[in-house]
Amino acid sequence: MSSNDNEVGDTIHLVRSSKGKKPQYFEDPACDKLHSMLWAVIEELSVARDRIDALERTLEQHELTSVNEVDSYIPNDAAADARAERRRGYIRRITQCFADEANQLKRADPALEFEEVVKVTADEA
Amino acid sequence: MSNRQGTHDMLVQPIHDEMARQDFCQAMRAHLLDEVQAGSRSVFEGRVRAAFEKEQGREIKNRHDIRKAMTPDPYYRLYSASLRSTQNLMWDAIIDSVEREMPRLKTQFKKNHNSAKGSLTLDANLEIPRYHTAADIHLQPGAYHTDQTDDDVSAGAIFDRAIHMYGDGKFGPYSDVMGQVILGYLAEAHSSFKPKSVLDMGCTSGNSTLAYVDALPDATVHGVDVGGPCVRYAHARAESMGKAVHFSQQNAEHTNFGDESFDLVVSHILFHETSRKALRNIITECHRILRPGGIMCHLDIPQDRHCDDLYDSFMWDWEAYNNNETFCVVMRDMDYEAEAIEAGFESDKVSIWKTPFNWPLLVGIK
Repeated sequence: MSSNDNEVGDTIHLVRSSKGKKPQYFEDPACDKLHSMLWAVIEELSVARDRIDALERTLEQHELTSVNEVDSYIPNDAAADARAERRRGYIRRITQCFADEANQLKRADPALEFEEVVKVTADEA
Repeated sequence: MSNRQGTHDMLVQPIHDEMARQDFCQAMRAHLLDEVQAGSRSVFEGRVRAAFEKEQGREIKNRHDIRKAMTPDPYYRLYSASLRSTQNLMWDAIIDSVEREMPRLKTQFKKNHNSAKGSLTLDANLEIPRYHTAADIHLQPGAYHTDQTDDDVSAGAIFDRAIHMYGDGKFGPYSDVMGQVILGYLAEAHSSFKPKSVLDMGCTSGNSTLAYVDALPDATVHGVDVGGPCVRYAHARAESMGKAVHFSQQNAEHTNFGDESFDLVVSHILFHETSRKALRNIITECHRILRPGGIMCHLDIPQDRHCDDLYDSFMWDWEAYNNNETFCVVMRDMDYEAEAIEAGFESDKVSIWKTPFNWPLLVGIK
């Protein structure tokens, strides 16, 4: 028997929370929590896509597969490169809001406010 | 191109979904730093600078002004929250693998230890410095020093995987680039210097430590770190790669090595994880344990004075305010040369060398 209370049999539960005060980034602390949750979901979607990719490729190789086979699947360089490219595209899409904002500020002709565009369409400006 | 980590039998072996999570975190971090951070500069120049200067009636003077101006900005808030979330997810994804592999890693540690060419000396009574216990540095749960089981190697196993992901592979397959940089400096500036004894201070998982074993085959190499799980792991990792190093659990501020024990004392990104007093103690300790003619080399992130401009310097503080690398704020304004002279080095034997990737290397010759 182990003397450590984080151990059950062979299983050791490692610490998952870091010590230290977390900065609050948004006005409402709930937004910080929702943002963290969203990132975990974003991550998991990437994992699911990689999992499907592994299934497809192993099925293609053997016409049949097993969970263990997928767990030990290691992409060759070509597959790893293809995954990396797809992953970069995925990341670019989910961070497009940053690019939109930064690009807006880099424009020579700044975007008009909504009311200003209304005036343009009304031929008043 | 695939940018894989070099393997050895202590490296954690993620199964498919664990690896997919780690790959995602690595790619997301690289994207946030390369693309989204670059956009934050446009935000600063495009709207934040002018608003600050109008409100304050003066120009931006330093990086602290930029931080005050940028912290409430919606783009920067979302950037910081996203990068911090990615950092948290990175640790969690690695811990999944290490937790699952703990029985194998413990067994492998014992096996490597029993056939060791080097050595391991632990000190269960070592007082862990306050700058490590106050908050977990770079958000690593349990940090470097927390023993979570008997013969614990987890902090080292987690860090070894994390340093590769954190640097997006740029630290090399075995994450020893910083050691290579110091060796490159020594070859260039001190080509006749052939150290017979080397100490790596704050060695963590021993990545850069091993660069000295390869480059200096006649030298005896030591590594110290306050983290028991780190030196256990570093020891087993070095043995798995067939390299003899003497690791011990010690505080670099006050080691148990005798006066004039080493020809070369090095550290790699140690300074910014200490404190003002500790940094002074470390340099003083280097002077004590170096032999006459011996050299100390300390590599760390750019100080304020080494940055291209104020915005660049502001971004180097991000990790301090958002990633528990808090001492950066103070350290980046410290006068390294003055500290070395105060510690006993002669002024004409202290210098700062700018490394190929623009990080400063503090050099002192005894």
